[in-house]
This record gives sequence, structure tokens and C-alpha cells, in this order.
Amino acid sequence: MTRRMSLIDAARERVVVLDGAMGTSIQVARPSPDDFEGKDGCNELLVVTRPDIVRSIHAGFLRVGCDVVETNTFGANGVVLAEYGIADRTEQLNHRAAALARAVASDFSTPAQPRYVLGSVGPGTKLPSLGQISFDALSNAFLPQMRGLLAGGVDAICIETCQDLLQIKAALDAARTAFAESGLSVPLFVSVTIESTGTMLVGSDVQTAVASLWPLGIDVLGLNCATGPSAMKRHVGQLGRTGPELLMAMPNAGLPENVNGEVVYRLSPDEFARWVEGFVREDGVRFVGGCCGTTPAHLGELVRRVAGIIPPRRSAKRPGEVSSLFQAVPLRQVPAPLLIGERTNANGSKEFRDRLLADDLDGMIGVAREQEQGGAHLLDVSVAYVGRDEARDMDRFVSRLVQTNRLPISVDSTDPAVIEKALKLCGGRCLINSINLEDGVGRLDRIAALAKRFGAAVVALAIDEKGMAMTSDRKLEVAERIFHRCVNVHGLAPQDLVFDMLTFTVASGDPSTRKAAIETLDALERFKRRHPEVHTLLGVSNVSFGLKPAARRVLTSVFLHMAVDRGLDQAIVNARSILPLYRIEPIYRGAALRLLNDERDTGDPLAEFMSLFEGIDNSRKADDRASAAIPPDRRLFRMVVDGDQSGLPELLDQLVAGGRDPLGIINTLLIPAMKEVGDLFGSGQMQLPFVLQSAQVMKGAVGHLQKFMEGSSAHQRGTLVLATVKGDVHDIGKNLVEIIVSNNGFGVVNLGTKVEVEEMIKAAQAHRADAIGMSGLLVKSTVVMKENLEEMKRRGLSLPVLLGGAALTRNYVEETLRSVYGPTVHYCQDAFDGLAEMVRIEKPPTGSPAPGSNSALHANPGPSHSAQPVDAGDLVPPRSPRLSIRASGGGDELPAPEVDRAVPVPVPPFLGTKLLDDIPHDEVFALLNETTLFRGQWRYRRGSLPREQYDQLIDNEVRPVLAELTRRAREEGLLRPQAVYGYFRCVARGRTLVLLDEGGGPSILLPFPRRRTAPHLSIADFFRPEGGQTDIVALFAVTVGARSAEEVQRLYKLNRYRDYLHLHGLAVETAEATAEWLHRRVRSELGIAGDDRQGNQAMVRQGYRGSRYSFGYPACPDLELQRPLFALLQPQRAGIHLSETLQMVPEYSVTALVAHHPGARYFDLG
Amino acid sequence: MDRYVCVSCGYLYDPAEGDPSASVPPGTSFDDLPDDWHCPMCYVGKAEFDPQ
Repeated sequence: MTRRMSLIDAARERVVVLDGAMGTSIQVARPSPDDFEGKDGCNELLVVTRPDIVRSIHAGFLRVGCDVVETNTFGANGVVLAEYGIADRTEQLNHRAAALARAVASDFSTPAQPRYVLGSVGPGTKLPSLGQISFDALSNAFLPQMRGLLAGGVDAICIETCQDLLQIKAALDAARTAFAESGLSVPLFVSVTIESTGTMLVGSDVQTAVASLWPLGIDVLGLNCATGPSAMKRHVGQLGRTGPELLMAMPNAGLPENVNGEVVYRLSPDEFARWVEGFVREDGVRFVGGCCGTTPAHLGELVRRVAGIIPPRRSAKRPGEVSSLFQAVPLRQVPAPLLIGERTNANGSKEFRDRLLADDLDGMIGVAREQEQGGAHLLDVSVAYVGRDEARDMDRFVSRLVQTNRLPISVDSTDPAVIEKALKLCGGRCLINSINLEDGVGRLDRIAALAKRFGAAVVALAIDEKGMAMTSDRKLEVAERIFHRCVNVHGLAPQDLVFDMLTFTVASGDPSTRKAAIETLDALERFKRRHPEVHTLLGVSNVSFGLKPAARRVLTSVFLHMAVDRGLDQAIVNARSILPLYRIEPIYRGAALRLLNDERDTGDPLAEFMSLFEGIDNSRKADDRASAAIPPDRRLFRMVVDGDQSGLPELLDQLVAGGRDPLGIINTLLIPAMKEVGDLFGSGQMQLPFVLQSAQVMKGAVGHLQKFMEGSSAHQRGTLVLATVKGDVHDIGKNLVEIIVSNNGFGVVNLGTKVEVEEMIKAAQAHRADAIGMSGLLVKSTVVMKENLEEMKRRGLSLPVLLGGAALTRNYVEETLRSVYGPTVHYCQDAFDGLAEMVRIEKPPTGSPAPGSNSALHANPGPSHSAQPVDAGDLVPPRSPRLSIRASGGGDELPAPEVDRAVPVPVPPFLGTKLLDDIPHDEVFALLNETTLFRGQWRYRRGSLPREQYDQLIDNEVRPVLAELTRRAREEGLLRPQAVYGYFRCVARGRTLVLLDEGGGPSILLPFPRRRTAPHLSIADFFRPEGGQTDIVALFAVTVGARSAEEVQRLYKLNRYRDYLHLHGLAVETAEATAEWLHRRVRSELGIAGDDRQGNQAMVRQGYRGSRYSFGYPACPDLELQRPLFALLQPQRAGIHLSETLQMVPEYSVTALVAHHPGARYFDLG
Repeated sequence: MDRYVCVSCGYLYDPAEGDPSASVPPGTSFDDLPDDWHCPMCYVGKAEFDPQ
């Protein structure tokens, strides 16, 4: 159907530019409620009601040169449209949107530059990995969307802004179904969203996404949304290193800010385009575009920058990996082998079978956990048991397992229907265990087709119609048949196949199997040589079947090591019971080897081997005894934190029977355990689904304790009414709040989504609520929240309101919204913030203000503790050398030098001041100066060390510290870059810079000294003189926040001197980096960033236009000037205060004045 | 000849370049710089320099 070159071929020749934001562009066009047919927020309807708006958005991007426009169908799937009651219009809306885009694209298409249409498929609002919707239901909801897009003529389909790998698979499945139905097919793009946590919402990082999605035969893999390009960079880098050939990146125009009800995306077109150009040049990305907040200006600049670039060629060899939602695991481990845990198998493990038969799901999960702790890389899951419904058991177990366990799964079943069920529950990449030719090709074909459809890897057994292959030649024959069928008929790749040459016991005494181990290993080695890319597997425990446990352990372990030497990649084992060779006595090892090699020269090797084990104790593992020794209190606490429910009711009964008060158990054990979970989540150590799992244990525990508290319900600490605001259907965040808050002893009334404020108020009154929680994902929901608060205020209400949402900022809530509603509205970053607020509401705050001046840090702490590698004399924290105050300069008596006073004055983006309290850590850390940090602040000097030794010291000792501290800065707010800055009109009056107020009159005078020796420079010389056009000056104050100072103090008091030095040094350097960051932003906003030089020394040697001067430094040593600067900027808003001695508190703060003049350089006073 | 880096601001003294702002010709090793030589960017003294 293509007259023009396909989109994929186009990308192989050049960089393809996709368009910018649809959602935020629609908001700018301000459609009316009628345009939405009353279905507020349903942007997709505009294709029918206001096609002119959609057309003009497409045209806007095409006009600036975008090659591709995306259809306005982001939410046009059955799930989301059902929320608006129009699911039946799904196919029609998609068709219309695609046709509309196609028509506009064709208008702009020329032979030289054909234009393309990409069908946008958003993720919907329900996550299958969290059990919110089934795979089939979700796939069915995407199907009409896919049909409509195809019929409307899209050139490709993009499944984007994905939060859940399983969601993606469901969408891909729907796409393939639509292709098969229509006979049409288009390229498939998949783009995931990596949050600022570094993972997709459900917890998958880039590597896991690559491992899970690449085998699905998609054409392009990429990233979009969540953050601006700078925070996306490292993920793009990861994708560039390990991803498939064709990559895509579509960042936002920075992070959204709420400015007086207007949503603003900060990143300028220039900055945006420069970063994205970097993705192309450095990471080989070939499809670029913009997401939220990007306008035709942004894309136009991007088009200009990437025109003509040939990105580096990327090799794309798909590695053999499997994955869970949380990690990718290579099928070939170094050192080999990959261990597949065998005990989650109803046929292989009595313990697991017993729990299955008792429907003890928690117990079954417990077995899985033990295997993980024992070192298994994968879990083999088999629940088949005669008389039971295998499909149902698989469903129940795997649904739980994927959320609670980090390991990928090997689906062990012979029933294709059961395998399919399991694959529909796993977002990660599974292994299917197994296929064979026992019944000919029928069943093999069905399972291989499933593997292809769901991107799974497959285990193939050397069994054919004649039975199990016993000799090496037969094993090879069967394996070859299977290999060719899978690769040539089903299109699987060699690295997707894992061959099991079968393991038989050598301990049965049966002469026909004496050489079983020899035959197996021979076949393995030969097949591997013929097909080096396939993987090999053995169920090694079988080799010792029939022996006593101690003997089994030795024989199995020795066999495993033999097999690895001959090329074995993977083994199914009880991971806990494998012994390394060095732990096996030589006499046992020798006997085992003789048995395996059937060496009969000194008698029967089996008899010999068995005789070594007479009288050996075969009692239970010591582990079982150990766990019983933990006190029940502690065990309960750990069970909540670990999310482990096995044995919970018994433990609780035991505690109550022992005299513990049920309410006491809740308050002193369960609730603190949930708090620990909250802390672990907050510090990034626990993933979201694990948090939910802990909450579930909590819920189960409280539920069980209810019956001991007859009548009196558990003490309810307070009640929260929760709702997603009008026009918004997103409820994941809100539901998390419900789970966490309700499992910490509070009552929660969840009103659902798209809730009018009227309903919230009514519910709050009816339930005597202590607070109302409002949630909303959309940027415009922040405006709705404001309106809600205005209404509540009008009604005279003042009860606490908690607000959560991706587009909210602390600043918007604490500044703008508090001025509307009063001080009782609070910003909640996540569910745990919400909990903290509820706790605060429950108890009035008692905390005292933070520690004040940090003068202690400047005093010499004395040499009494020097356990760290820092000698006593160095315990004084280094006074920043830059604060060295020089002699004062000269005055008016000195003549001004010649300075060009006719430099054009840049136009500032605003006049007055602004507070920036959400500066992205990544952008600041990218500007850290490692030399000054490592060698200056932290004192790791090379001195006389050889270069290699010093480099090693840095890599082994120093970089990990930096990584950990920056992680804590990001995740715990240990360092929080904030700033206040502003632009002011000014003129120079001799050596005094006069800042002007709105009326043009002088407001602040900043007198600067002159150099004593010629040239007699003063900072004021770089500004236009009084009497002509006014000039512009920027002033700023940055800080890394009070928390760092508190923590530094704390470390010092604990005598942790090395940690103290590290944190202090990093805080100083981060403040400097923040100042650099802000200086760059100022240059960018003033339009002078074009002169910025790149390269190592650029920052140090002022490779940019203009200069920034900080008071106290050589050019302006007088700290008195801090007073007027503080009066003007009000940096108290960012938590920076001026002490009486004109020191800044917290000390990790920097103030500066920025001159734009090209001649402005650093100088001293001579 | 070794290059030396200023631990206070990161400025790199490269003997091949010298320091024109202080009339130090190219080819001058760090050790041969005068005792009162200071970092041209941030003014700290030789003691704050470390071999790169």
C-alpha cells in the first residue's frame, strides 16, 4: 500500500522526526465543555466535535518540518472510553482520527519529504500486572482501536507511554489480531515511560524492558514522557548500549510547573533540541520527537538540528535472556550454570504439593521465596496434580508470584491452555518447559506458536514418537528435528531454544542406564558444537534418584560440574542443595566420578559410592531449626515487611494465646512494620508491588485479629475521604493511598474517579472525615483542585485537604493553593506522604524547629576521635577556598577603563523574582566538578601515587561513595537543589550598579570597588551607564537545602568523620553545581547560550559569554552586598537566611550576580 | 611534564600551554612556576594543585 518509502526504511537513511505534544497542545486551544459533549477530558472526541483543532495541531507540526504526526487517539481504547460511556465508538473514533491525520499529512507530503501518520495507542488506566484487568479483557479493549487505526490508514502503530510490560503485550496481541483479520500490517513501535525512580511504574527498568520486548518482533523500541531529556539521558544511553537496532526518544519539555493556574513546561526549544540531538549523535537514536509541553517551536528547532545527521550504525544482536517484571536474567550465566529452582513443582516437592493441596497460596509463595534466597536464577513452576484444575491453580499462583518475586518464571506444563494462561499473566519473558515430539508435531506446534506469540523461550526435550532418547546419537537426532521445526517453521531464533538431553539416574542398579550420564553429556557437547547459539539444560537431580539425600547431594553436584565443563548452560536443581566442588571430600568426589563415568575396573562403582554414605545423618536442613528460634514478635514484623503470609494465622493465634492484646499487636508490631515498608519505599529499596504485598499481609493480619476483638473494632485513627477529581480517570495513585493509609489503622472512603467536589463534601460530612484527599494525574487536574478548594472555602470549610498528582508541585500547593484555601492544604508526593499527613492530623505537631546556625562546623572539633583515614589535623572541614577575602579595592578616584557600553541588551523572560524548588537532581549532578569534589573537598589527592593506582582508588573507594550519596540525594532529599532568581532593570552610575524599580526609579544600589592597578575594572563597568537605554542584570541565590546541613551535623556528633567529610564536601559542590545550572539557564533565557563552549575546561575557564560574580569573591569581596540582594530576592522562600555575620544558612548556598556583557570576566582587585 | 589541576576550581595547568595571563611561556613545568604563582581562575596558590 505504500507509494512512499516505508517509515522503517526512511529511518535507515536518516533521522525521522515525530511531532510534539497533543494533550498540552489541545489545552492551549481551550476547547469548550460542549466540544467534549460533556465528557470532560476525553480529548479523543475532538476528532469528531472539533476536527479543526486537531487538524491545526497536526499542521502546526508538519509546517515546521516534522516527518510524522501521531493520531489524537492516546486514550481511545475500550477501557478508557468505557469510563466515558462510549466504548462502542472506539473503532469509529480511531478510524476518524487516523483518516484526519492522513489527510493533513498528505497535504504536506512531497516526493522529497513524504509525511507519515503514526497511530498513537496509550496504555489505558488499568494495569494487568497489578491484577486490575485481565490480559484478554485488555487485548479486547485495544482491538477495535487497532482496527480503526489500520482502516484509517496509519503508516505504523505506536504503543506508547507504557507503564506495564504486560499491558504492552496485550496491545501487541490486539495489533497482530487486527493484522491477521484485515490482511494489512504496519510496523510496530513500543515506547515505555521511565519514571524518575528509574523504572516503569510497575517496576521494570530499561534492561528488563529490552529483554521482555525485543523477542516480540517489534520494529522500534523507545522511551517517552515522564521527564525532560536530561533526566532521560541515562536511560537512552542504556537503550543505546543494549537495545535493538531502531530506537526512539520523545522527552517532555522538562518538568511541568504550575504558575498561577497556568501549566508551564520550562525547557526552551534550544535546550530541548540540543539534548535530543545528543541522543541521535551519541546513542544512535533514529526516531525523535517530543512529548508533553513540546510545541512546534521545539520541534522546529529539533528538525533544524538533526537535519543531515547520519546517526551511528548500531549492531543489534538479540541476546538470550528471560525476565520478570523486575530484572532481566541472561540464559547463559558467568559462571555457569543458570540455576532453575525446582521446588515450586507439585510433582517434585512434597512440601509444595502439600501446600497446593491445602490451597495454601502463602505457603506456596514461601517455597518460591526460599528458592530465590537459595540462589535460583529462575523458578520452574508446575502445579499439575491429578484431580485438580491445573489452569486455575496456575492462574492463582502465577498472579501472585509475578508481583511478589523477582525471578523470571519457567512455565512447566504439558497443556498448551495452561501455558497460555500463565503467559498472559507475565509481563516479563518466560521460559516454557517444555516441548517434545512424543506425540508428533501437533502439541509442539501449538506450544511453539505460543512461544512466538508471547515472545517466550522454550525448553525442548529429547523425546520423540519412539520414546525417550537414551543414546547420544538418538538424542541428537531428536534435537535436530525439533531445532529445524522451531526455527524454520515457527520462526523462533536459536537463542530462544534450550535443549534438554535428558538425565537418567545412574543409581537404580539397572544395567541399561549405567552409561546414562556419559550418553547425555556426549550429546550435549556435540549439539552445542553444531549450534553454538542454543542453550542447554539438564534436570540434574534425576541423576541421583534412588539414593539417600546426602548421597544425592554429592552425586548431583559432581554431575552438575561435569556437565558445565562439557557446555551445560542451565540446570534445574534444588538451588539450596548444590555443593561447590571444593566442599566435597576428594574420596566422595572420586567415587561419584567413577559412578558417572561407569568405571568398572575396580568393581561396581554404584555399590562403592553407596557404601561411603552408610550411617550418615539425613535429618532436616539446619535452616528449618534456625527459623523457629526467631521470637514471634520479630517474625511477625518481618513477615509484614517481607510480604510473607505463610503461617500468619498460626503465628497470630500463638501471640494471642500467649497473652498479647490484639490491639497491642496492631499498634506495636503491625503498624510500625508498615512504617518500615514506607521508609523502604521512600528510600527506593522496595518496589511498588512489594509494598502492596506487605499491605496485603497487614490487611490479612488485621482481619484475622478482628475475631479476637469482638465488638470493638480496631481503633480507627482517623478517616480519609479519597477521590480522583472531575475530568480525570486515573486512580492508581489514589488507590495506593487507600491501601497504605487503611493498612496503617485509618479508615478510608474511596469515592472513585471523576468526582465532583460536591460529592466529596457530602461524603466528608457523612463519614465525619478528618481529611479529604484529592488525586489527579492530568496537568489540568491541578486547576480543578484549585477550583475545588475555592468552592470549599466559599462554604466556610477548613478541614485538611491532601493533594497528590504527577503534575502537582510542592510550590504550587504551598504557595498558590494555600493562599486560596489556607494552611490546611498539603502536598503529598506519594502514598506515604499522605500517611504522614494523616498521622500529623491525628496528633498535633510537636517538633521543634531545625537546628540553627552551623557555627560548630567552623570550629576545630579537636583530635579526640580519629578512627577514620582522616588525620586529626584535617578534622576541620575545609573552608571553601573561594571565600578567601582579598583586600578591598579602590574607589571613585580611579578612572574607569574603556568598556564597550553599546552591547545590545537581551530581553529577559520576566522581571522580578521566581522560586525554583524542584530542580532536577540529575541535571545538577551532571555539572558536578569531580576534580574539586574528589581532590578538593574530599581530599583524595594523587600526590605521588602512580596514575593507575590513583585511578583505581577513585574507582573502588570514591565513586561508590558518590553514587550512594547522589542516590540518597535523589531519593531521600538529602540534597535538594533550590533557587530564587530574578531579572532586574539596571544602569551603571560610575562604579555603582543601580537596580531600578517598576517606575524606573532607583531601588537598590550595589557599589563595586575598582581594581587598584590598571585596568581599573569594576563590575558596574559591564552595564550600560545612566542616561541611556537601561540594562538587565540577573541575580540569584541557590541552596541544597537545610536537610543536608542537619545531616552533616548529625554525622559529626556521631563521630562519623569520613561520612561527615563526604557529605559536607558533596553539599558544597552541589551548591556550586546548582549555581552553574542556574547560570546556564539564565544564559539560555537571555539568548546568549549560543556562545557556550563545550569540553572539559569550558566551565572552569569561563567558556561562555558573560560572567557570574558572587559576593565575597575577588571581584567583590564585600559581603555587605548580601543585604540588598536578600532584600530584593527574598531567598528565604528557598529556605536561605542571612546570619548577622552575613553568612548564609544553610551554609551550602551560593548567591550571585550575572552580567551578560561579552567582556565580563573574573578579575581581582589588583 | 605532568599537568597539574587546581583542586579548588578545576583549572588545568598544562605546561605545553604555559600561563599567558601571568607571562609564563609554554614549556614551563609546574615545579618551575614561581612560588607566588596562583591559579588564573580562582587565585589559590600552588599548594592547591595536584598532578592530574
